[in-house]
Amino acid sequence: MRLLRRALVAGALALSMAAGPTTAADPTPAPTQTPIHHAIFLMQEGHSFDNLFGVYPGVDGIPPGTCVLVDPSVVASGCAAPLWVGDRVVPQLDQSSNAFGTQFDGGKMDGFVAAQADAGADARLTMGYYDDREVPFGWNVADAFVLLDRYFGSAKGGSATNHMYWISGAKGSPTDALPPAGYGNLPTVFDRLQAAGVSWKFYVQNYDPSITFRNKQGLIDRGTQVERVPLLAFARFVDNAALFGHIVDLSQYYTDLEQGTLPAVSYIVPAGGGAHTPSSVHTEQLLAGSLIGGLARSAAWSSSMLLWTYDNSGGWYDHVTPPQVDADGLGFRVPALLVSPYARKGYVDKTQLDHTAAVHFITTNWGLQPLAARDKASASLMGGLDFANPGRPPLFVGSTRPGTGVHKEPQRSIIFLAYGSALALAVVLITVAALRTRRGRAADQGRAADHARKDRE
Amino acid sequence: MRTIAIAHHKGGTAKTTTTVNLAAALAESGRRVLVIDMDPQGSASAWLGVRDPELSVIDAIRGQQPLAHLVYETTAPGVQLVAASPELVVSGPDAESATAIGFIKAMQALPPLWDFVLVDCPPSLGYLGVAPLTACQEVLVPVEAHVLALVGLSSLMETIARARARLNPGLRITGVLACRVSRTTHSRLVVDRLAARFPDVFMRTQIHENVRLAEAPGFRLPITVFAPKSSGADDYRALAAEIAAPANVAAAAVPAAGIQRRAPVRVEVSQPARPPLSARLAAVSIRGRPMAEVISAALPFAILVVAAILRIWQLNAVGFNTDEAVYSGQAASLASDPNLTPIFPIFRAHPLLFQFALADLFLLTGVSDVNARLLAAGAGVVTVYLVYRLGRTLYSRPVGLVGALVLTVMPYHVIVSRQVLLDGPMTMFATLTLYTVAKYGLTGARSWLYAAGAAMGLTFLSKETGVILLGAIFAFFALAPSVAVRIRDLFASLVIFVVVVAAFPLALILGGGGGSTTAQQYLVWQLFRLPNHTMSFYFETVPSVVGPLVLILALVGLLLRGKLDWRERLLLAWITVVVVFFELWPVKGFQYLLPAAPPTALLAARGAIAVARWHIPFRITELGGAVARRIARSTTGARALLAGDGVRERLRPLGRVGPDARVSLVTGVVALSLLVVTVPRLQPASSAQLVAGAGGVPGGREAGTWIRDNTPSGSQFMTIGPSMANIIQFYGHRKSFGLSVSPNPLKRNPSYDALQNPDLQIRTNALQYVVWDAYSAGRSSYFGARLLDYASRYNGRIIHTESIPSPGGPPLEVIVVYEVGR
Repeated sequence: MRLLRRALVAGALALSMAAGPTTAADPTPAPTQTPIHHAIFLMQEGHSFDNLFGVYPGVDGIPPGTCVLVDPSVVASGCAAPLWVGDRVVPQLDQSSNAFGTQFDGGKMDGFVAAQADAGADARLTMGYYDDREVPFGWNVADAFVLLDRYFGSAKGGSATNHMYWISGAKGSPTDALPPAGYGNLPTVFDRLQAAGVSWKFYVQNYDPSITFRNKQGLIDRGTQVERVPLLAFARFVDNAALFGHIVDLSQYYTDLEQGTLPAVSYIVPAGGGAHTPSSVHTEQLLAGSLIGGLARSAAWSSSMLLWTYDNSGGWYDHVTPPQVDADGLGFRVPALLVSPYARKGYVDKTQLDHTAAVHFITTNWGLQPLAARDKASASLMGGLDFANPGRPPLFVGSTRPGTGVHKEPQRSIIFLAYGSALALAVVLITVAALRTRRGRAADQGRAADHARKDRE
Repeated sequence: MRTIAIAHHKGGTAKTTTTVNLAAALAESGRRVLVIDMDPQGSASAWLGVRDPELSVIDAIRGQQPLAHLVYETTAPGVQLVAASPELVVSGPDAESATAIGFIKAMQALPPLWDFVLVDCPPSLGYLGVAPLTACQEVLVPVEAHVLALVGLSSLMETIARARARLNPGLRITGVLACRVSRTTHSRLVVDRLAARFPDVFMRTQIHENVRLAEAPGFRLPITVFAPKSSGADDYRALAAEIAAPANVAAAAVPAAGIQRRAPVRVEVSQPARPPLSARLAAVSIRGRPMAEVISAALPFAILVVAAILRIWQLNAVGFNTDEAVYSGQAASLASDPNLTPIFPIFRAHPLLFQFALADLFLLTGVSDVNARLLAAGAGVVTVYLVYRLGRTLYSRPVGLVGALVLTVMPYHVIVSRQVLLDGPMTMFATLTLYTVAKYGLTGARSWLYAAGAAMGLTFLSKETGVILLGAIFAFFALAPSVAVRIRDLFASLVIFVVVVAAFPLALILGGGGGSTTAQQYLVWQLFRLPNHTMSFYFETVPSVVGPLVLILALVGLLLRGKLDWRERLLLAWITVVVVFFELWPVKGFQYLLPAAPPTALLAARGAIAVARWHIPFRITELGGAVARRIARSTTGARALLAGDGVRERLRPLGRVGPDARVSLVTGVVALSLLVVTVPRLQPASSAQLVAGAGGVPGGREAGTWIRDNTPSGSQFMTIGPSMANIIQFYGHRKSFGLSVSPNPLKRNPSYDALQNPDLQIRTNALQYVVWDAYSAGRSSYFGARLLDYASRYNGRIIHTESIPSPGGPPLEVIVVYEVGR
């Protein structure tokens, strides 16, 4: 098995060297283990897998008959069944590590409604799910590329911890909260890339370079920028102008795509509160659509891979008990989609993964040292990629679901039958006329007799 | 040319039976045969399928028309007919002798276009009965093998002898033919007596009693067609072989001095020293068949080959226009093509017969623009063939050939049938309908009326506007009372039409997919649509591509030929209904008048032949008016001049050119006049000004293909209008929206998708590309400018430019693709 994989990777490597997509702006791409020269990691916020893909066909979705007790300690309290959210406004759901404890309930997974008790009458909304009416783009991406249905949040805690695992393979702080003095000397994947001379950028939607760990207090919403961009809590990245310059506004992403200056590794985070409840689920779809669409029409497409995931479950229900690999996690499952020309179409990858898989992929692909135990132990992201095949041509994923809208597909067999029969009937009638005249059987018998009589006279 | 009178002193079946079936048997062996029916009863005419003819032998006898112009095609292949007339019965010796003399003169003027001319004589020995004996080289005497039939035979023989002695010394008795020979002793005795009495001329072949022979006239078919394997058919084939045998030919070739002496007619003049080219060519033979015959047989194929070349050459030089893209896209969708199915809905406006055929082709060959055009071109070539058959059925083989040639090179038909449009196939089926109606008019067989209903149904299923031709058929039956039609049969035919047409609504309703809604909306929209062209549109665009000469010849043919036969009424009804309907209909299209082209070509062919044969008596009719009178005056003047000996001598070189050659000459001139228009139109155009329906769109395919290869699949495009959108959809496999398509469903073609709020679409990244094109911008500068507005407002980057070569200048930029938004 390992031999086979190695052979595949070697073959793919040879292929990628031969095909060599070298752009003017990136004359010597750093050597890679795969044909992927541009890895893009998008982390959005606050959805469980079941929340967005629980009813997507062919995945480990919400099991039939699911019902979660309103109060796990009182069986008679009744239970809450999954419900379609639709366009209902959802209140802020509790997504703290405390809430995780209640929800997880020692592995019984029965505290989801109870954990949102503070939300009052709307607690049952934690059982909510969306389908392709609200997530058409995400579902279309799943149809066209790879959906990972065993991808967990790295930690049971909130945003900051999960973002930290995403860039460093480690928690970086004893608490869930951001350490007021920053993360100190903890190594990140960007240190590895910087040392190896591999290009990278951290794209931030609505980026405000003035907000760092030093001044975030009191900024409430805008302060979450530091949680989403943990590099802003590293003194060495904030104080070194060269390194600081790698953190840029998202508009630079499109410029880089147009100009062919997309770096080898890109991390992308949305603007504050992007997808957290009660924000609209449409906003995040739009952003992902724009990012993936821009990638598809750029020259980088043919050697790219984009992992689109969510930091944590956002307080939403997920039915899969997360394996506990250490004191921090794993957290509940989050949606994860892999977009690449090498992605298998409509493939569901069932490899158990979490955010440290990003670090694992980068260090593997560019031949770097692992950062921490979790990323070192992580399985490969590449189960859904197929390097044996030439990459697929760019594909623009739309927001219209097939089978919806006015153009319902007519039944072709009926059309063929109707017109085929009409044509056959006409051909038969015309042939009969021609043959009858020729053989003389056609004429009206009465008139024929008349004429025959007249002729004999 | 051998002229044989079939004479018998008393009426009966033998004479007419022999005339008709001998003619058919001779034609079956490859001879060109003309039957002239001089029997006032018209039995031979009726038998050969010509009823109530507008023109008859009486027109020739009165000197109004040469015999050669009175020829009808018959139900016997290869046999032509000059029909009898009840007016042959005249009273008084003066009238009778005038009739006889008129006939003899007409016979003398008969051009040698046939191998055999058989004259069915009247059953009398008066002037009228003697006239054929005077005018023909030979006489064949059929005698029924019945003792009573011998009575009076001697008086016939005396008459023949008298005619030979006084009027026609060259007259030869071809033979005495025993007919209705049975196995009875009595019959054998009679045959033996005949053989003994006419030892030199008694025919070896005998015609036996055969019930099929008695049945055949009822079906208006000769025995060789009606019962080709019967003994009666075999008897007549044997007779034909005996008569055409070399011994008989040699005998006939003995100069008939009487005829030579009285040959004052131009056509008959030949140059003994140097036989005309046609005669020399005719002497050459290919595999035992005379060269002329081989060439003649090959003519229809040659025309079809030319038709195919003109419709195929450079067919793929320029890509589709919008309509072609739509119909091919529908067919691809019907064939479940994975790329085009999501973009082109199957149901749009029209019925789907052609798209159905195209889908079958696509299933075999894959989706291909050139294959789609080949299918359309194939329909064009079939139409040419149908015109040949139609002309042959209605008039004669030459009319069919010339008509087919005219349509072959007519720019209008060539241009339209080189495109994937519904009008070409619709015209093919319309011409098939015309053919079936013509067959009905000729045979009266109701099965042809049913076939007409079916063919009309296919016409509708090709394009629903074909339904107006139903009106043409009804108008024809109303205007041509000589073609009888029973209401019951007409109704049955209409039912067949409805059953065939039912495929359209059935597929819409049972096929599902919202097609019926689109079709209804489309109908409503079409009915209330504003005019897209002025009333003068067709007058400005169509005559120049139909050919002015074609139109003139068609008109001249109608004026010169005098009264309108049912044949002309059929063709005129067809043309009139098409032209009048589309002239009044507010929505006009270059290709809409195409169904009128085939009948126009035939009328032109008729005119061309009439002009070529020149010495036509000009009958002034209600149609004629002052113009006709003027033409008639000048041409009769010319004829009078030609009649003078001196002039005739001087004109002899012209006279040497036979009528066939002159037909070829006139046809050649017409064909050339059309070709000079057609051929340049086959070259790819190099201009940004296009007439819709007149050809492909230069650069469209190339831009579409570039888009398919260089933009992400699934991305969406905005164009100035729906025309370029369709082209990009077909070649680019990308959904495209025309900016000019109104978002108001009442104001747009329901088969187009409108773009709601382009700003929002671009900002939400639902629309990623904008395409400007010179053609659409030329038609609508407003939407052209608005499109460029969007490009500049949303960071438009030019990612591709398509240019076409422009004569004497830098390449013309016709299509520009912008990337917009992010």
